Amino acid sequence: MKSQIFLFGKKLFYFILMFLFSDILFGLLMDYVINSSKYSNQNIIMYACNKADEEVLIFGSSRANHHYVTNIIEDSLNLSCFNFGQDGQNIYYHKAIQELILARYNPKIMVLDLFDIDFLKTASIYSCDRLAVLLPLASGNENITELLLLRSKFERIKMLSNFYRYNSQLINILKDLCLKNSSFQDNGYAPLYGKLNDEKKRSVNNGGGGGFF
Amino acid sequence: MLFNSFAFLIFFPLVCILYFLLPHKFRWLLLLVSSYYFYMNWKPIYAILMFSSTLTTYLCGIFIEKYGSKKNIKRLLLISSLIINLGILFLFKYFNFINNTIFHFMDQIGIKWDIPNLDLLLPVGISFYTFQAIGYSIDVYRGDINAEKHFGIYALFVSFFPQLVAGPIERAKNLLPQFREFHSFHSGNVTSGLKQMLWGFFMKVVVADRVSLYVDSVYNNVDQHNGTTLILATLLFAVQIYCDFAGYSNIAIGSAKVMGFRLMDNFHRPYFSVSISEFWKRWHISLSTWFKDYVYIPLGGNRVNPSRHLVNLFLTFFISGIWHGANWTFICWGALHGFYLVTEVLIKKYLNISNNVKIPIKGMGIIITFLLTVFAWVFFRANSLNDAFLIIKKIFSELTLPYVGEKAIVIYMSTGFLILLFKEIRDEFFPYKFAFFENRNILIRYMSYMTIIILILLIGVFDGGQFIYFQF
Repeated sequence: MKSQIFLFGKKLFYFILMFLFSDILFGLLMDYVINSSKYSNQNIIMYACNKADEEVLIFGSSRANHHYVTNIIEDSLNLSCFNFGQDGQNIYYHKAIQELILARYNPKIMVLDLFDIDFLKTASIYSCDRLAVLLPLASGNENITELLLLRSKFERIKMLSNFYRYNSQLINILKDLCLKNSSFQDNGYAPLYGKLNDEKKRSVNNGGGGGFF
Repeated sequence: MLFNSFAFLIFFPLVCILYFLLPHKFRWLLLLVSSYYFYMNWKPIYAILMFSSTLTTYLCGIFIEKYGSKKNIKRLLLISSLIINLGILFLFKYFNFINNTIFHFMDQIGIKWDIPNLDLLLPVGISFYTFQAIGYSIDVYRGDINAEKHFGIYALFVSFFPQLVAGPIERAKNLLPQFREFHSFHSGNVTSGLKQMLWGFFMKVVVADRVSLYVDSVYNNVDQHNGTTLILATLLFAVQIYCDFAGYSNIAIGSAKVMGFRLMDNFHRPYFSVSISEFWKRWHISLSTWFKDYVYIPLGGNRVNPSRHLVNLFLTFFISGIWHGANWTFICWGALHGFYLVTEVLIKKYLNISNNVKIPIKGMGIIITFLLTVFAWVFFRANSLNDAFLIIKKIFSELTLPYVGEKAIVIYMSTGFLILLFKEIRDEFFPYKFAFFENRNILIRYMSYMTIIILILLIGVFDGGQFIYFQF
């Protein structure tokens, strides 16, 4: 029996070694990819962590992201504005971003756009699972790690694996890498159907929709 | 506890290490305690039900053996055991369904039926351990096995954690003696068991749970989708339920194998069946054989006149439908399979088709069988009979471009599905070629394990997707 245990132990040891090596390598590669990307969820979160200093901040799901036009708010209030809205996200995500910001400074106005469903504990949209988008940034930030622990009590152990940190996000991260637009082009605001440029303005003024509406 | 939870990844190695460290005489106790702990992780109070089922069938077995010569007493004991066990199952699983059915029927004829529904959760795996325990009672009654005298070992037979909540539904003849055998640590067994578990995790987390995101979004909003989308969702549900259940079985069989136990096979690439009868020899084998041994054969099987044989066949599948769930959708699904089988028997009889058919006909058989089973899955997955009929209506009328969903999800889904398809085709048609997990080259072998683990971590769906068959 001892020889069998030794045989299995040897195989397991080599296998774990191979796995650890590839996991570390993958982590390094993905960190590089995220840092090279101009447009990504992770960029926005890192911005909240390290750089954001706007006076008006918008939080919410896609409704916030696609409807609160930062330029107009800036013009009207004469205050700088950034839109942290994120497609498909719920109140846990907004809380995460707010805490990252409030740890550094106090903005003058914070707008939190909520759905009534955000108050229902049973709704699937309420789930902490959606915080997964924060996983790639977990290794470098204790605030984010603390929030991710809401997902499960084992999250800290799971996050040791770089493969797990990028679970279900690889395609989107690679896709973001190919995008030319920057997340910061319109201070986080993402127009749903494109922007109204001069040509489209003329077309609208002449009575046509210009493919805009 | 779920197999695909992180808690299981801690629980299982711990149990295995303790199992091999402990002297043989204490191992059953470790497994029994672990099994009850595994079960009580969900809702501790429901362990009482499992214990009641264990106690009644244990005592029934002892007394049946004691009164071996007195047929009437033996029969009375068996009937009491069946009534108690099926009574518990009825109360928790079928009471509300039957109550509601009677309420609607009475309402139609203007009578007020005022019995309130019970506010009870369905205990996880109740149908599985109840059937296993009932099977034991019948085996003792028939004299196929001796009654187990050691209550602890018998309790372990009913609650053995790898197959407790979703099978395979084991036979006492196969599993009980194994608890008395000494299993030493064997590297080959452990590796082979772990490989099977790994593949099971892949099927569940990468394929079934990923596909379920699409299937659920379509089937929970049937009126919003066109026929093509519903066809796609139904085809994907066929993949989902197979990977969910066969994945669970692989994890169950694999984890038992690590400790040296041999559980019966439960799935044998069912979608390559050339007929419905073959499908049931490859799908949920432990349940199909259970129904064959304890329902179909006692009804007379095929050793009766031809029309009675057809009734027996239909009845067996009708009951199997009821076993799957307290809903008319499951009953229709069972009845539909009964109808398929009766039709198959009649076609084979009147067209004189033998089982040894040529390859093109075999291919056609596979396609027809697959389409028939997929059609039946509509009833299995639909939330109600109305939904099922609406889906069928739309499938044959609204054939426009399907809803596909987010591209990233489609890519993840396709990756898992293509790997699964490759393995299924390879196992079925080229079992000695393109080996990965069993390759002689250690590097290829290790790279294959690594690829599957990485895929599980990278594209698997975590966060507690439950196994579909837990609800049955």
